[in-house]
Amino acid sequence: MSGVTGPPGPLWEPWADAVAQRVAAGFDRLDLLTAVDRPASGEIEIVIHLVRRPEAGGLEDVWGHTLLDRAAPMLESVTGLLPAAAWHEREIHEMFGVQVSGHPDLRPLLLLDVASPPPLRKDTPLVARVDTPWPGARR
Amino acid sequence: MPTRGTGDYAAGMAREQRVYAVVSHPEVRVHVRDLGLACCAVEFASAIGRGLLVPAEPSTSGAAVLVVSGTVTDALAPEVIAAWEALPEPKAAVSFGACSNSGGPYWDSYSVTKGVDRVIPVSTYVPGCPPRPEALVDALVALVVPA
Amino acid sequence: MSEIPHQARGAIALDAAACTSCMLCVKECPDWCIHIESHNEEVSEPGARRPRSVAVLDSFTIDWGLCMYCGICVEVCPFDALHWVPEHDYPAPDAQGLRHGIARLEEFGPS
Repeated sequence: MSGVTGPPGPLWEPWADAVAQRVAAGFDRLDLLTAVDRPASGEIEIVIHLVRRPEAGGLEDVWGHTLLDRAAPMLESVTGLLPAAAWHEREIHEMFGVQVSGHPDLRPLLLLDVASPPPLRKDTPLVARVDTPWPGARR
Repeated sequence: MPTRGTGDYAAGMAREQRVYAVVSHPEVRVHVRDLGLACCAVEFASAIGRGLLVPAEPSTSGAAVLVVSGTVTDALAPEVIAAWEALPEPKAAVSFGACSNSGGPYWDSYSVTKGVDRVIPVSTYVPGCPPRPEALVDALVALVVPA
Repeated sequence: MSEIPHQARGAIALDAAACTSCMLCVKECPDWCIHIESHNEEVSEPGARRPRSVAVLDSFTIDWGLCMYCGICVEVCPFDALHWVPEHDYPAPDAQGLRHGIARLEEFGPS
């Protein structure tokens, strides 16, 4: 895609209103909605990528992001604006332990249960690697 | 709310039992259900595409073989159990490839079952990542023809 | 029927005499599927000022159940003790049977 704008600019706040503003401007196709754990700053970053198709042809896109408190992350659902966000928000919920307010159905998407601690938090240990001694440590 | 682990998915995938003759061992006929969960399933298809296995008429004897090829996740494990239980006796399971053998490259993952033998009994383990199509034939022959 | 290419990555064979137990393959293996046990022995040579310490390989195991056949071990071995062979016919009736030691890995033969 030609219009990728690189790193996101200012925070989109409040989140759902900021998303609604872009959807109203025609960016109504959801390409990506995900999270990045940032333990050093105690935040979880939410990243969104929206696309619109101008009548003249081609694609235009916009990146947005916001930061949540890592200790008690709470995200406003945007499923009312973008129904396709439903699965992305379920994934953010189970993988990063983010509560999503206003989501109609927050069942786990990929895991049997919401694991505790959330598997994609960077300080979550991989249990198998904790249990298994590294063979290269010998000698 | 739909329940998980109904077996519909995997049992559906493995519902179709196909009968193949092993070209290199014409006396060997296997009733195979292919439970292809990831890329190793391509090697199963390749065994047919390359003419190592050819479709055959069903024989009255012989075990049904469930070939589990690919990554078994914890979320999908109940479906694999359901597919195994749906298979009539006599039956045997072949674990095809590293993921199914032990978790393979995903042995440390939070979501991958560390080998399909954690959930169903396995008769033959086929090494490879992926195994060659010929390795599937090797395993089926080893399973059917006593050494 | 298909011919199997001679360079096919079927299995990794070991030349135990070339192995110096340096552990590079073990340390680089992303899957942790290689295990080496070794010990040091002192060799006295006539005329040498002091005995030489040499590593003696006790066991070398590849767990084919875990191996992802990436070949990093073959690439990093400074002594060419590991090499690919096209062998593919080694299924096992249990997971333990996929753990091959020195004798079995040498049976895969020269490249």
